Amino acid sequence: MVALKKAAFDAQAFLASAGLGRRIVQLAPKETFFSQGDPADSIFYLQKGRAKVKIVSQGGKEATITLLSAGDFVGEEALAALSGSRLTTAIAVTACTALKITRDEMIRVVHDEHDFSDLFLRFLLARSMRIQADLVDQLFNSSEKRLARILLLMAEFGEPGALEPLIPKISQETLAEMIGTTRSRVSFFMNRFRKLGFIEYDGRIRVHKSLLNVILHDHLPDDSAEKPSISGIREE
Amino acid sequence: MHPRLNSLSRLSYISGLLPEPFRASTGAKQPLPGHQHSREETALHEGNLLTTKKNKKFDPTTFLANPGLGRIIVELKPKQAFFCQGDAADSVFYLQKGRARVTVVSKNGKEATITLLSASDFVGEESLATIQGLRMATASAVSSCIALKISRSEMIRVMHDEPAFADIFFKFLLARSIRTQADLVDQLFNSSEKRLARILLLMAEFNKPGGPETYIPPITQETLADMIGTTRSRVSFFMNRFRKLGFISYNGRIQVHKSLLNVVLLDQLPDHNAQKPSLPIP
Repeated sequence: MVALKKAAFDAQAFLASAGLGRRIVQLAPKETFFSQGDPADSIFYLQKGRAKVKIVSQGGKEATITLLSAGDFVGEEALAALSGSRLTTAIAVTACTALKITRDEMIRVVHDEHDFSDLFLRFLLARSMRIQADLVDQLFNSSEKRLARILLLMAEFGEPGALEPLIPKISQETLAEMIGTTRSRVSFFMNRFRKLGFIEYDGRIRVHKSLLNVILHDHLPDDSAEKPSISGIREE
Repeated sequence: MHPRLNSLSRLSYISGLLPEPFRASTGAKQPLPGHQHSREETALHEGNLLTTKKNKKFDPTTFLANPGLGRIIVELKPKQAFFCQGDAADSVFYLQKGRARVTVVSKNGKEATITLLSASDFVGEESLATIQGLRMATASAVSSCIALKISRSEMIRVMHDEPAFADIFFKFLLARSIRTQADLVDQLFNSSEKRLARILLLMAEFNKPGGPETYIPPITQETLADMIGTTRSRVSFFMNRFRKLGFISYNGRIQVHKSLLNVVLLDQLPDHNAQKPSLPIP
């Protein structure tokens, strides 16, 4: 009996197409991939569009934990041993196209295909480290610094030759939810940043490298002599 | 590599796994056309060139319990470091016994504890990135610890070669991610007092099966303050309140009572400005 040669597995092709245990879903803005409390039975791979992950507290407070774009997985907690229900809600921000992979199929392909488990491991490591960095940010930095950091991350200043200092459209409410403060504080900080020339605002926010100063220095130059300079005071 | 992963990871100082040159996981040769060999047959066919060790079934538990190629056992006394912020990230540790913590120091010298670790946790997994980077945090022993130190290359190899091991590590990474996310949400939502209650409950292992320990390991108020992002004097103030309300006892060691759960779950905390506590004590 001649052994059949198995077609080489291509992780990108797998993630771009429907098949056994995986199908393509389209979402309009504000539609949910899944909601807090739903059974955690699948993982999504975002092919196109932007989304966010948020959580609602018992008291009804909302926080946005992660912003997602093409190439991100979402709902990976479904693969955790004791997973039962979704802990968070994932919502489309723009129109999205995603691959919905059943839990069983995801487990199978991670087992069977080295290239895929490599890719997924890279993603999990990056996600884990990013959340850890966000936590450290909360522990160390004032709201103003946290806002500056988020804006810089969104403009992806870490990337050399970054073409896009414009950040994707995001509401001040979402920014407030992400850093744990109020919309009015965000508005206040954004105005300061604009007066100091760190950002421009023409419908879309354009971030300048000088915004890094907010994070690197403890005191900002005053836009007005009367006001005290902001030091790194954490708000409760 | 996907561009999106690139930017995320660059900001987090890693850039993904270096794919090892592909190695067939079984190590078996291709069967001759027209005839399929089992692995044992192949060994005999090649005159026992393949050692019996390769045919022995891999057991992750045994692997993680013993030294071997690329892995050594280390013992640490309390406060000794597994690794420090800024060191080369060249290994992953598997905590066999004891408790440890991960701390970060800011530019201004402020210290924060971001994770507590106990037996069967991995630590230092950031070393699995493509380009060997630097440690972004310090891991140190809280109690005496025994750990398996696995070299980066050995960790990458065993992840590739042994799906059973990769399973365990994936599960750990997922659980760690979920836990850190919960800590982040805690910071975003909760007052310092509730964060303290939550940390005390986690340390008393109320969430683990087998019943709570109720006694938490010795820990200073400074460390607690670091972990929740407040001052030692606030922690002292909250602990006294918890004690007066019967949520904890203190006889040299802190003992956590089930009633503390209500604080976290049911939002039952007396208002700071109220004259009297407003919650019923079960």
